Amino acid sequence: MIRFDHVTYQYEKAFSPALSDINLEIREGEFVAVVGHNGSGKSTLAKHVNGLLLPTEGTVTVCGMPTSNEDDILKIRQKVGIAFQNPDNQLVTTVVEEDVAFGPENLGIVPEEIRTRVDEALASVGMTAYASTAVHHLSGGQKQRIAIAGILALKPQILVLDEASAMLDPSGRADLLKTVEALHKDGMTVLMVTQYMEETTGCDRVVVMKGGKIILDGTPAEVFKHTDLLKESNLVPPETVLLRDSLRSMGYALSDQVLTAEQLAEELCPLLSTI
Amino acid sequence: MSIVINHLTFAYTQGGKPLAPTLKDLSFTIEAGMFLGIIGHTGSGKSTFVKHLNGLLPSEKGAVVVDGHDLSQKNERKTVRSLVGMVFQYPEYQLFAETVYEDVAFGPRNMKLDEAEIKNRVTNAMQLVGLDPERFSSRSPFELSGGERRRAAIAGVLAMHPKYLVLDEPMAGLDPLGRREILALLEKLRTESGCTIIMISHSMDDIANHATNVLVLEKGSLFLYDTPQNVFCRAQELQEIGLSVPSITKICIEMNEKGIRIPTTICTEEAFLNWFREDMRHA
Repeated sequence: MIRFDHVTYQYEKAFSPALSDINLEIREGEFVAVVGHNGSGKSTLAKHVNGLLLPTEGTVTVCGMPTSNEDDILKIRQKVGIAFQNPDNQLVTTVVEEDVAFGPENLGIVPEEIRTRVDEALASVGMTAYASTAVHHLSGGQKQRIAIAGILALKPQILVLDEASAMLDPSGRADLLKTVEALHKDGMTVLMVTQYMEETTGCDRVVVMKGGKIILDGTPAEVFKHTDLLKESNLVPPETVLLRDSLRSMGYALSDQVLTAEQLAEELCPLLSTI
Repeated sequence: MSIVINHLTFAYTQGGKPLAPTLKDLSFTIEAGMFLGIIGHTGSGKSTFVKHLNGLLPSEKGAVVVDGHDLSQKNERKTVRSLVGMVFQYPEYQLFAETVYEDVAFGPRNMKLDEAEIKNRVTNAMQLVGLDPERFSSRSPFELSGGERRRAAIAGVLAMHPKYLVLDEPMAGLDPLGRREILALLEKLRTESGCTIIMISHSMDDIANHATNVLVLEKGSLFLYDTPQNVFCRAQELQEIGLSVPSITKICIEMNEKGIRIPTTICTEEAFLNWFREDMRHA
Protein backbone atom coordinates (compact mmCIF):
# COMPACT_ATOMS: atom_id res chain seq x y z
CA MET A 1 0.00 0.00 0.00
CA ILE A 2 2.92 2.28 0.82
CA ARG A 3 6.25 1.57 -0.76
CA PHE A 4 9.62 3.25 -0.24
CA ASP A 5 12.05 2.29 -2.97
CA HIS A 6 15.68 3.34 -2.37
CA VAL A 7 14.54 6.62 -0.86
CA THR A 8 17.15 9.19 0.06
CA TYR A 9 16.25 12.62 1.32
CA GLN A 10 18.63 15.48 1.91
CA TYR A 11 17.50 18.70 3.61
CA GLU A 12 19.04 21.80 2.09
CA LYS A 13 22.33 22.75 3.71
CA ALA A 14 22.38 19.55 5.79
CA PHE A 15 25.69 17.70 6.04
CA SER A 16 24.23 14.22 5.77
CA PRO A 17 20.96 12.91 4.35
CA ALA A 18 17.98 12.63 6.72
CA LEU A 19 16.99 9.41 4.97
CA SER A 20 19.47 7.26 3.18
CA ASP A 21 18.45 4.45 0.84
CA ILE A 22 15.25 3.46 2.64
CA ASN A 23 13.38 0.39 1.41
CA LEU A 24 10.10 -0.24 3.17
CA GLU A 25 6.80 -1.76 2.22
CA ILE A 26 3.68 -1.32 4.30
CA ARG A 27 0.81 -3.60 3.43
CA GLU A 28 -2.86 -2.75 3.52
CA GLY A 29 -4.29 -3.02 7.02
CA GLU A 30 -0.91 -3.15 8.75
CA PHE A 31 -0.21 -1.27 11.98
CA VAL A 32 3.43 -0.22 11.83
CA ALA A 33 5.31 1.76 14.47
CA VAL A 34 8.40 3.75 13.55
CA VAL A 35 10.75 4.57 16.42
CA GLY A 36 14.08 6.34 16.58
CA HIS A 37 15.95 9.04 18.45
CA ASN A 38 15.64 12.74 17.56
CA GLY A 39 17.16 13.28 14.16
CA SER A 40 16.95 9.59 13.19
CA GLY A 41 14.77 10.47 10.21
CA LYS A 42 11.49 9.01 11.45
CA SER A 43 9.48 12.22 11.01
CA THR A 44 11.09 12.83 7.63
CA LEU A 45 9.95 9.35 6.66
CA ALA A 46 6.38 10.10 7.79
CA LYS A 47 6.27 13.32 5.77
CA HIS A 48 7.09 11.35 2.63
CA VAL A 49 3.94 9.25 2.85
CA ASN A 50 1.62 12.02 1.69
CA GLY A 51 4.15 13.91 -0.41
CA LEU A 52 4.80 16.74 2.06
CA LEU A 53 8.40 15.91 1.29
CA LEU A 54 9.54 14.38 -1.98
CA PRO A 55 12.52 12.04 -2.18
CA THR A 56 15.83 13.49 -3.35
CA GLU A 57 16.47 10.04 -4.83
CA GLY A 58 14.24 7.00 -5.16
CA THR A 59 10.44 6.84 -5.13
CA VAL A 60 7.57 6.64 -2.66
CA THR A 61 4.37 5.14 -3.99
CA VAL A 62 1.00 5.13 -2.23
CA CYS A 63 -1.61 2.72 -3.64
CA GLY A 64 0.52 2.52 -6.76
CA MET A 65 0.73 6.29 -7.24
CA PRO A 66 4.17 7.91 -6.99
CA THR A 67 4.14 10.95 -4.69
CA SER A 68 6.37 12.76 -7.19
CA ASN A 69 3.52 12.81 -9.71
CA GLU A 70 1.77 16.16 -9.21
CA ASP A 71 -1.46 14.91 -10.80
CA ASP A 72 -1.82 12.21 -8.16
CA ILE A 73 -0.90 14.20 -5.08
CA LEU A 74 -4.47 15.28 -4.24
CA LYS A 75 -5.67 11.70 -4.54
CA ILE A 76 -2.83 10.57 -2.29
CA ARG A 77 -3.66 13.20 0.32
CA GLN A 78 -7.29 12.06 0.40
CA LYS A 79 -6.04 8.57 1.22
CA VAL A 80 -3.41 9.60 3.75
CA GLY A 81 -4.33 11.57 6.86
CA ILE A 82 -1.42 12.86 8.91
CA ALA A 83 -1.38 14.18 12.47
CA PHE A 84 1.59 16.09 13.85
CA GLN A 85 3.09 16.65 17.25
CA ASN A 86 1.99 20.20 17.97
CA PRO A 87 -1.79 20.55 17.87
CA ASP A 88 -1.59 24.34 17.91
CA ASN A 89 -0.27 24.23 14.37
CA GLN A 90 -3.13 22.06 13.16
CA LEU A 91 -6.26 23.76 14.44
CA VAL A 92 -7.68 26.40 12.13
CA THR A 93 -11.00 27.61 13.56
CA THR A 94 -12.18 28.84 16.95
CA VAL A 95 -14.82 26.24 17.89
CA VAL A 96 -14.14 22.51 18.25
CA GLU A 97 -16.83 21.13 15.93
CA GLU A 98 -16.10 23.74 13.28
CA ASP A 99 -12.51 22.65 13.33
CA VAL A 100 -13.38 19.00 12.86
CA ALA A 101 -15.78 19.97 10.05
CA PHE A 102 -13.18 22.09 8.26
CA GLY A 103 -11.71 19.23 6.21
CA PRO A 104 -14.99 17.62 5.07
CA GLU A 105 -16.40 21.09 4.23
CA ASN A 106 -13.46 21.71 1.95
CA LEU A 107 -14.20 18.44 0.17
CA GLY A 108 -17.72 19.69 -0.56
CA ILE A 109 -19.49 16.99 1.45
CA VAL A 110 -23.22 17.55 2.15
CA PRO A 111 -24.02 19.12 5.56
CA GLU A 112 -25.90 16.08 6.98
CA GLU A 113 -22.96 13.83 6.20
CA ILE A 114 -20.58 16.36 7.74
CA ARG A 115 -22.67 16.36 10.94
CA THR A 116 -22.46 12.56 11.17
CA ARG A 117 -18.74 12.51 10.48
CA VAL A 118 -18.01 15.22 13.04
CA ASP A 119 -20.06 13.45 15.72
CA GLU A 120 -18.39 10.11 15.02
CA ALA A 121 -14.92 11.61 14.94
CA LEU A 122 -15.43 13.50 18.22
CA ALA A 123 -16.83 10.37 19.87
CA SER A 124 -13.85 8.29 18.79
CA VAL A 125 -11.41 10.70 20.45
CA GLY A 126 -13.61 11.07 23.53
CA MET A 127 -14.33 14.79 23.00
CA THR A 128 -18.08 14.77 22.31
CA ALA A 129 -18.75 16.93 25.36
CA TYR A 130 -16.51 19.65 23.96
CA ALA A 131 -18.22 20.03 20.54
CA SER A 132 -19.11 23.68 21.06
CA THR A 133 -16.14 24.65 23.23
CA ALA A 134 -13.74 27.37 22.09
CA VAL A 135 -10.52 25.78 20.88
CA HIS A 136 -8.32 28.15 22.89
CA HIS A 137 -9.89 26.91 26.11
CA LEU A 138 -8.61 23.39 25.54
CA SER A 139 -5.41 21.97 26.99
CA GLY A 140 -2.63 20.74 24.70
CA GLY A 141 -3.80 17.15 24.98
CA GLN A 142 -7.39 18.02 24.21
CA LYS A 143 -6.33 20.06 21.19
CA GLN A 144 -4.41 17.10 19.86
CA ARG A 145 -7.47 14.88 20.10
CA ILE A 146 -9.43 17.49 18.12
CA ALA A 147 -6.70 17.60 15.47
CA ILE A 148 -6.97 13.83 15.13
CA ALA A 149 -10.77 14.01 14.99
CA GLY A 150 -10.37 16.47 12.11
CA ILE A 151 -8.37 13.87 10.22
CA LEU A 152 -10.78 11.03 11.01
CA ALA A 153 -13.62 13.17 9.62
CA LEU A 154 -11.87 12.96 6.25
CA LYS A 155 -12.12 9.16 6.36
CA PRO A 156 -8.59 8.42 5.20
CA GLN A 157 -7.43 4.87 4.38
CA ILE A 158 -4.00 5.45 5.83
CA LEU A 159 -3.45 7.25 9.11
CA VAL A 160 0.01 8.64 9.79
CA LEU A 161 0.70 9.79 13.34
CA ASP A 162 3.87 11.84 13.59
CA GLU A 163 4.48 11.78 17.37
CA ALA A 164 0.85 12.72 17.79
CA SER A 165 0.74 11.41 21.35
CA ALA A 166 3.84 13.26 22.57
CA MET A 167 1.83 15.97 24.31
CA LEU A 168 -0.96 13.81 25.74
CA ASP A 169 -1.27 12.69 29.34
CA PRO A 170 -1.22 8.94 30.08
CA SER A 171 -4.97 8.43 29.87
CA GLY A 172 -5.14 10.64 26.77
CA ARG A 173 -2.36 8.61 25.24
CA ALA A 174 -4.04 5.33 26.17
CA ASP A 175 -7.34 6.62 24.71
CA LEU A 176 -5.61 7.67 21.51
CA LEU A 177 -3.85 4.33 21.21
CA LYS A 178 -7.15 2.54 21.79
CA THR A 179 -8.76 4.74 19.13
CA VAL A 180 -5.99 3.98 16.68
CA GLU A 181 -6.16 0.25 17.45
CA ALA A 182 -9.93 0.30 16.86
CA LEU A 183 -9.45 2.14 13.55
CA HIS A 184 -6.83 -0.42 12.61
CA LYS A 185 -9.23 -3.27 13.42
CA ASP A 186 -11.75 -1.67 11.08
CA GLY A 187 -9.17 -1.88 8.31
CA MET A 188 -7.21 1.37 8.58
CA THR A 189 -3.55 1.14 7.65
CA VAL A 190 -1.59 2.93 10.39
CA LEU A 191 1.93 4.29 10.41
CA MET A 192 2.73 5.58 13.89
CA VAL A 193 5.92 7.52 14.55
CA THR A 194 6.60 7.60 18.27
CA GLN A 195 9.30 7.95 20.90
CA TYR A 196 7.39 5.86 23.41
CA MET A 197 8.51 2.30 22.87
CA GLU A 198 5.88 0.99 25.25
CA GLU A 199 3.24 2.16 22.74
CA THR A 200 4.59 -0.18 20.11
CA THR A 201 4.12 -3.52 21.89
CA GLY A 202 0.64 -3.99 20.38
CA CYS A 203 1.64 -3.14 16.80
CA ASP A 204 2.03 -5.66 14.00
CA ARG A 205 5.49 -4.41 13.24
CA VAL A 206 8.15 -2.09 14.64
CA VAL A 207 10.65 -0.27 12.43
CA VAL A 208 13.67 1.18 14.27
CA MET A 209 15.57 4.04 12.65
CA LYS A 210 19.01 5.42 13.37
CA GLY A 211 20.92 8.03 11.38
CA GLY A 212 18.49 7.93 8.45
CA LYS A 213 18.62 4.16 8.09
CA ILE A 214 16.40 1.31 9.18
CA ILE A 215 18.35 -0.82 11.66
CA LEU A 216 15.61 -3.18 12.83
CA ASP A 217 12.29 -4.21 11.29
CA GLY A 218 10.14 -6.97 12.75
CA THR A 219 7.43 -7.91 15.21
CA PRO A 220 7.67 -6.26 18.65
CA ALA A 221 8.97 -9.53 20.13
CA GLU A 222 11.72 -9.70 17.50
CA VAL A 223 12.72 -6.06 17.88
CA PHE A 224 12.78 -6.07 21.69
CA LYS A 225 15.20 -8.99 21.69
CA HIS A 226 17.82 -6.43 20.79
CA THR A 227 17.75 -4.24 23.90
CA ASP A 228 21.48 -3.51 23.69
CA LEU A 229 21.21 -2.31 20.10
CA LEU A 230 18.21 -0.17 21.05
CA LYS A 231 20.13 1.43 23.92
CA GLU A 232 23.09 2.08 21.61
CA SER A 233 20.66 3.83 19.28
CA ASN A 234 19.66 6.18 22.14
CA LEU A 235 16.34 4.47 22.60
CA VAL A 236 14.93 3.29 25.88
CA PRO A 237 13.14 -0.07 25.77
CA PRO A 238 9.95 -0.29 27.87
CA GLU A 239 10.55 -0.68 31.64
CA THR A 240 8.87 -4.09 31.48
CA VAL A 241 11.34 -5.30 28.85
CA LEU A 242 14.29 -3.99 30.89
CA LEU A 243 12.98 -5.79 33.97
CA ARG A 244 12.49 -8.93 31.87
CA ASP A 245 16.16 -8.77 30.86
CA SER A 246 17.29 -8.22 34.47
CA LEU A 247 15.26 -11.22 35.60
CA ARG A 248 16.67 -13.29 32.77
CA SER A 249 20.17 -12.47 33.88
CA MET A 250 19.15 -13.71 37.34
CA GLY A 251 18.29 -17.02 35.75
CA TYR A 252 14.55 -16.82 35.08
CA ALA A 253 13.60 -18.34 31.75
CA LEU A 254 11.33 -15.64 30.34
CA SER A 255 10.54 -15.70 26.62
CA ASP A 256 10.89 -12.96 24.00
CA GLN A 257 7.10 -12.70 23.99
CA VAL A 258 7.23 -10.91 27.36
CA LEU A 259 6.58 -7.24 26.51
CA THR A 260 3.78 -6.16 28.83
CA ALA A 261 3.07 -6.32 32.57
CA GLU A 262 0.45 -8.99 31.96
CA GLN A 263 2.76 -11.21 29.92
CA LEU A 264 5.56 -10.82 32.46
CA ALA A 265 3.32 -11.83 35.35
CA GLU A 266 1.95 -14.70 33.25
CA GLU A 267 5.37 -16.25 32.67
CA LEU A 268 7.02 -15.27 35.95
CA CYS A 269 4.42 -16.47 38.45
CA PRO A 270 4.60 -20.19 37.51
CA LEU A 271 8.40 -19.98 37.83
CA LEU A 272 8.06 -18.58 41.34
CA SER A 273 5.58 -21.11 42.63
CA THR A 274 7.95 -23.95 41.74
CA ILE A 275 10.85 -22.49 43.75
CA MET B 1 13.03 26.49 54.62
CA SER B 2 9.92 25.56 52.71
CA ILE B 3 7.06 26.69 50.51
CA VAL B 4 3.86 26.78 52.54
CA ILE B 5 0.59 26.69 50.64
CA ASN B 6 -2.31 27.66 52.82
CA HIS B 7 -5.95 27.40 51.66
CA LEU B 8 -5.04 28.44 48.13
CA THR B 9 -8.07 28.92 45.87
CA PHE B 10 -7.96 30.39 42.40
CA ALA B 11 -10.43 31.04 39.59
CA TYR B 12 -9.71 32.41 36.13
CA THR B 13 -12.06 35.10 34.90
CA GLN B 14 -13.86 35.42 31.61
CA GLY B 15 -15.36 38.76 30.62
CA GLY B 16 -14.75 40.03 34.14
CA LYS B 17 -16.67 37.18 35.75
CA PRO B 18 -14.95 34.40 37.69
CA LEU B 19 -15.16 30.91 36.16
CA ALA B 20 -15.42 27.74 38.26
CA PRO B 21 -12.32 27.59 40.48
CA THR B 22 -9.25 25.93 38.94
CA LEU B 23 -7.62 25.46 42.36
CA LYS B 24 -9.68 24.61 45.40
CA ASP B 25 -8.48 25.13 48.95
CA LEU B 26 -4.98 23.67 48.60
CA SER B 27 -3.02 23.39 51.84
CA PHE B 28 0.33 21.62 52.12
CA THR B 29 4.05 22.28 52.50
CA ILE B 30 6.87 21.68 50.04
CA GLU B 31 10.01 21.12 52.10
CA ALA B 32 13.39 22.30 50.83
CA GLY B 33 15.39 19.42 49.36
CA MET B 34 12.41 17.51 48.03
CA PHE B 35 12.05 16.23 44.49
CA LEU B 36 8.33 16.82 44.18
CA GLY B 37 6.51 15.23 41.27
CA ILE B 38 3.16 16.77 40.40
CA ILE B 39 0.69 14.58 38.54
CA GLY B 40 -2.91 15.00 37.53
CA HIS B 41 -5.21 14.54 34.59
CA THR B 42 -5.25 17.20 31.85
CA GLY B 43 -7.06 20.21 33.28
CA SER B 44 -6.51 19.21 36.92
CA GLY B 45 -4.81 22.54 37.68
CA LYS B 46 -1.13 21.49 37.68
CA SER B 47 0.16 24.34 35.52
CA THR B 48 -2.10 26.87 37.20
CA PHE B 49 -0.81 25.73 40.58
CA VAL B 50 2.89 26.09 39.79
CA LYS B 51 2.33 29.60 38.45
CA HIS B 52 1.39 30.54 42.01
CA LEU B 53 4.78 29.51 43.34
CA ASN B 54 6.48 32.70 42.20
CA GLY B 55 3.50 34.98 42.03
CA LEU B 56 2.89 34.80 38.28
CA LEU B 57 -0.72 34.30 39.23
CA PRO B 58 -1.92 36.22 42.28
CA SER B 59 -3.07 34.29 45.31
CA GLU B 60 -6.31 36.11 45.98
CA LYS B 61 -7.69 33.58 48.40
CA GLY B 62 -5.24 31.79 50.62
CA ALA B 63 -1.51 32.25 50.81
CA VAL B 64 1.73 31.03 49.28
CA VAL B 65 4.71 31.68 51.53
CA VAL B 66 8.21 30.97 50.19
CA ASP B 67 10.93 30.84 52.87
CA GLY B 68 8.86 33.23 54.96
CA HIS B 69 8.06 35.62 52.08
CA ASP B 70 4.31 35.96 51.61
CA LEU B 71 3.46 36.29 47.91
CA SER B 72 0.28 38.22 48.64
CA GLN B 73 2.60 41.11 49.56
CA LYS B 74 3.50 42.74 46.25
CA ASN B 75 6.87 43.94 47.55
CA GLU B 76 7.84 40.35 48.35
CA ARG B 77 7.37 39.07 44.79
CA LYS B 78 10.75 40.22 43.56
CA THR B 79 12.51 38.38 46.38
CA VAL B 80 10.51 35.23 45.73
CA ARG B 81 11.25 35.35 42.01
CA SER B 82 14.94 35.21 42.78
CA LEU B 83 14.29 32.12 44.93
CA VAL B 84 11.94 30.27 42.60
CA GLY B 85 13.09 29.57 39.04
CA MET B 86 10.39 28.69 36.56
CA VAL B 87 10.84 26.53 33.46
CA PHE B 88 7.66 26.53 31.40
CA GLN B 89 6.47 23.95 28.90
CA TYR B 90 8.56 24.10 25.75
CA PRO B 91 10.91 26.72 27.25
CA GLU B 92 13.00 26.73 24.06
CA TYR B 93 10.25 28.81 22.43
CA GLN B 94 11.35 31.61 24.72
CA LEU B 95 14.93 31.71 23.51
CA PHE B 96 15.44 35.02 21.77
CA ALA B 97 19.01 36.29 21.97
CA GLU B 98 21.54 36.09 19.16
CA THR B 99 23.87 33.76 21.02
CA VAL B 100 23.45 31.07 23.63
CA TYR B 101 25.71 33.08 25.96
CA GLU B 102 23.53 36.18 25.73
CA ASP B 103 20.39 34.17 26.25
CA VAL B 104 21.67 32.49 29.40
CA ALA B 105 23.05 35.85 30.59
CA PHE B 106 19.70 37.59 30.30
CA GLY B 107 18.50 36.71 33.82
CA PRO B 108 21.74 37.46 35.68
CA ARG B 109 22.04 40.72 33.73
CA ASN B 110 18.57 41.74 34.91
CA MET B 111 19.73 41.02 38.43
CA LYS B 112 22.29 43.82 37.89
CA LEU B 113 25.26 41.55 38.58
CA ASP B 114 28.71 42.63 37.38
CA GLU B 115 30.13 41.23 34.12
CA ALA B 116 32.59 38.89 35.85
CA GLU B 117 29.86 37.33 37.96
CA ILE B 118 27.56 37.08 34.95
CA LYS B 119 30.26 35.30 32.98
CA ASN B 120 30.90 33.00 35.89
CA ARG B 121 27.24 32.10 36.25
CA VAL B 122 26.66 31.62 32.51
CA THR B 123 29.67 29.34 32.21
CA ASN B 124 28.60 27.29 35.22
CA ALA B 125 24.99 27.00 34.10
CA MET B 126 26.04 25.90 30.59
CA GLN B 127 28.39 23.32 32.04
CA LEU B 128 25.66 22.05 34.35
CA VAL B 129 23.24 21.42 31.48
CA GLY B 130 25.98 19.81 29.41
CA LEU B 131 26.50 22.57 26.83
CA ASP B 132 30.25 23.11 26.56
CA PRO B 133 30.71 26.91 26.91
CA GLU B 134 33.57 26.95 24.42
CA ARG B 135 31.58 25.22 21.75
CA PHE B 136 28.18 26.72 22.34
CA SER B 137 28.58 30.27 23.76
CA SER B 138 28.74 32.10 20.47
CA ARG B 139 26.30 29.91 18.56
CA SER B 140 22.76 30.97 17.78
CA PRO B 141 20.22 29.11 19.93
CA PHE B 142 18.29 28.41 16.74
CA GLU B 143 21.12 26.28 15.33
CA LEU B 144 20.89 23.83 18.20
CA SER B 145 19.01 20.54 18.29
CA GLY B 146 15.73 20.30 20.17
CA GLY B 147 17.34 18.78 23.27
CA GLU B 148 20.18 21.31 23.26
CA ARG B 149 17.75 24.20 22.91
CA ARG B 150 15.74 22.89 25.85
CA ARG B 151 18.89 22.67 27.97
CA ALA B 152 19.98 26.17 26.93
CA ALA B 153 16.61 27.50 28.10
CA ILE B 154 16.98 25.69 31.43
CA ALA B 155 20.53 27.08 31.79
CA GLY B 156 19.04 30.59 31.60
CA VAL B 157 16.94 29.83 34.67
CA LEU B 158 19.77 28.07 36.53
CA ALA B 159 22.05 31.07 36.01
CA MET B 160 19.80 32.97 38.41
CA HIS B 161 20.70 30.41 41.12
CA PRO B 162 17.18 29.51 42.21
CA LYS B 163 16.68 27.59 45.45
CA TYR B 164 13.50 26.08 44.09
CA LEU B 165 13.33 24.98 40.48
CA VAL B 166 9.85 24.55 39.05
CA LEU B 167 9.50 22.69 35.75
CA ASP B 168 6.29 22.20 33.80
CA GLU B 169 6.71 18.99 31.79
CA PRO B 170 10.40 19.54 31.10
CA MET B 171 10.70 16.33 29.05
CA ALA B 172 7.71 16.88 26.76
CA GLY B 173 8.59 16.37 23.12
CA LEU B 174 12.16 15.21 23.83
CA ASP B 175 13.41 11.83 22.71
CA PRO B 176 14.31 9.20 25.33
CA LEU B 177 17.94 10.28 25.46
CA GLY B 178 16.96 13.94 25.86
CA ARG B 179 14.58 12.93 28.64
CA ARG B 180 17.26 11.01 30.49
CA GLU B 181 19.66 13.94 30.19
CA ILE B 182 17.16 16.32 31.76
CA LEU B 183 16.37 13.89 34.58
CA ALA B 184 20.06 13.33 35.28
CA LEU B 185 20.54 17.11 35.39
CA LEU B 186 17.71 17.52 37.91
CA GLU B 187 19.12 14.76 40.12
CA LYS B 188 22.53 16.42 39.98
CA LEU B 189 21.11 19.83 40.89
CA ARG B 190 19.27 18.41 43.84
CA THR B 191 22.10 16.33 45.24
CA GLU B 192 25.00 18.68 44.48
CA SER B 193 23.56 22.14 45.03
CA GLY B 194 20.61 21.21 47.22
CA CYS B 195 18.14 22.75 44.78
CA THR B 196 14.54 21.73 45.46
CA ILE B 197 12.92 20.29 42.34
CA ILE B 198 9.21 20.71 41.63
CA MET B 199 8.31 18.93 38.41
CA ILE B 200 5.05 18.40 36.56
CA SER B 201 5.26 15.21 34.55
CA HIS B 202 3.00 12.79 32.76
CA SER B 203 5.52 9.98 33.02
CA MET B 204 4.69 7.82 36.01
CA ASP B 205 7.90 5.85 35.44
CA ASP B 206 10.01 9.01 35.67
CA ILE B 207 8.18 10.12 38.80
CA ALA B 208 8.59 6.69 40.42
CA ASN B 209 12.30 6.66 39.64
CA HIS B 210 13.14 10.21 40.73
CA ALA B 211 10.59 11.89 42.97
CA THR B 212 10.83 11.82 46.76
CA ASN B 213 7.24 13.04 47.08
CA VAL B 214 4.22 13.10 44.81
CA LEU B 215 1.36 15.59 44.68
CA VAL B 216 -1.76 14.38 42.91
CA LEU B 217 -4.22 17.04 41.82
CA GLU B 218 -7.76 16.24 40.75
CA LYS B 219 -10.10 18.96 39.47
CA GLY B 220 -8.11 21.57 41.36
CA SER B 221 -8.17 19.78 44.71
CA LEU B 222 -5.42 17.95 46.54
CA PHE B 223 -6.11 14.26 45.96
CA LEU B 224 -2.97 12.69 47.41
CA TYR B 225 0.31 14.03 48.78
CA ASP B 226 2.69 11.30 49.84
CA THR B 227 5.74 9.24 48.86
CA PRO B 228 5.71 7.61 45.41
CA GLN B 229 5.30 4.20 47.10
CA ASN B 230 2.21 5.28 49.03
CA VAL B 231 0.71 7.11 46.06
CA PHE B 232 1.22 4.49 43.36
CA CYS B 233 -0.06 1.56 45.44
CA ARG B 234 -3.47 3.23 45.18
CA ALA B 235 -3.79 2.20 41.54
CA GLN B 236 -7.56 1.86 41.52
CA GLU B 237 -8.15 5.40 42.80
CA LEU B 238 -5.59 6.83 40.40
CA GLN B 239 -7.22 5.04 37.51
CA GLU B 240 -10.59 6.47 38.47
CA ILE B 241 -9.20 9.98 38.05
CA GLY B 242 -7.63 9.17 34.71
CA LEU B 243 -4.08 8.46 35.85
CA SER B 244 -1.98 5.38 35.35
CA VAL B 245 0.71 3.82 37.53
CA PRO B 246 4.38 3.04 36.81
CA SER B 247 5.16 -0.05 34.69
CA ILE B 248 6.68 -1.85 37.66
CA THR B 249 3.57 -1.23 39.79
CA LYS B 250 1.46 -2.71 36.98
CA ILE B 251 3.58 -5.85 37.05
CA CYS B 252 3.17 -6.14 40.84
CA ILE B 253 -0.61 -5.80 40.49
CA GLU B 254 -0.72 -8.50 37.80
CA MET B 255 1.39 -10.79 39.97
CA ASN B 256 -0.92 -10.33 42.94
CA GLU B 257 -3.85 -11.28 40.73
CA LYS B 258 -1.98 -14.50 39.98
CA GLY B 259 -1.49 -15.20 43.65
CA ILE B 260 2.07 -13.92 44.20
CA ARG B 261 1.94 -11.57 47.18
CA ILE B 262 4.41 -8.89 46.13
CA PRO B 263 3.77 -5.48 47.79
CA THR B 264 2.20 -3.01 45.34
CA THR B 265 4.22 -0.21 46.97
CA ILE B 266 7.07 -1.44 44.76
CA CYS B 267 7.30 1.00 41.85
CA THR B 268 10.90 0.88 40.60
CA GLU B 269 12.98 -1.85 38.99
CA GLU B 270 15.50 -1.58 41.80
CA ALA B 271 12.88 -2.17 44.50
CA PHE B 272 11.41 -5.01 42.48
CA LEU B 273 14.73 -6.79 42.09
CA ASN B 274 15.51 -6.20 45.79
CA TRP B 275 12.26 -7.83 46.79
CA PHE B 276 13.11 -10.67 44.49
CA ARG B 277 16.46 -11.30 46.10
CA GLU B 278 14.82 -11.18 49.54
CA ASP B 279 12.06 -13.52 48.43
CA MET B 280 14.59 -15.94 46.99
CA ARG B 281 16.33 -16.08 50.36
CA HIS B 282 13.09 -16.96 52.09
CA ALA B 283 12.44 -19.71 49.58
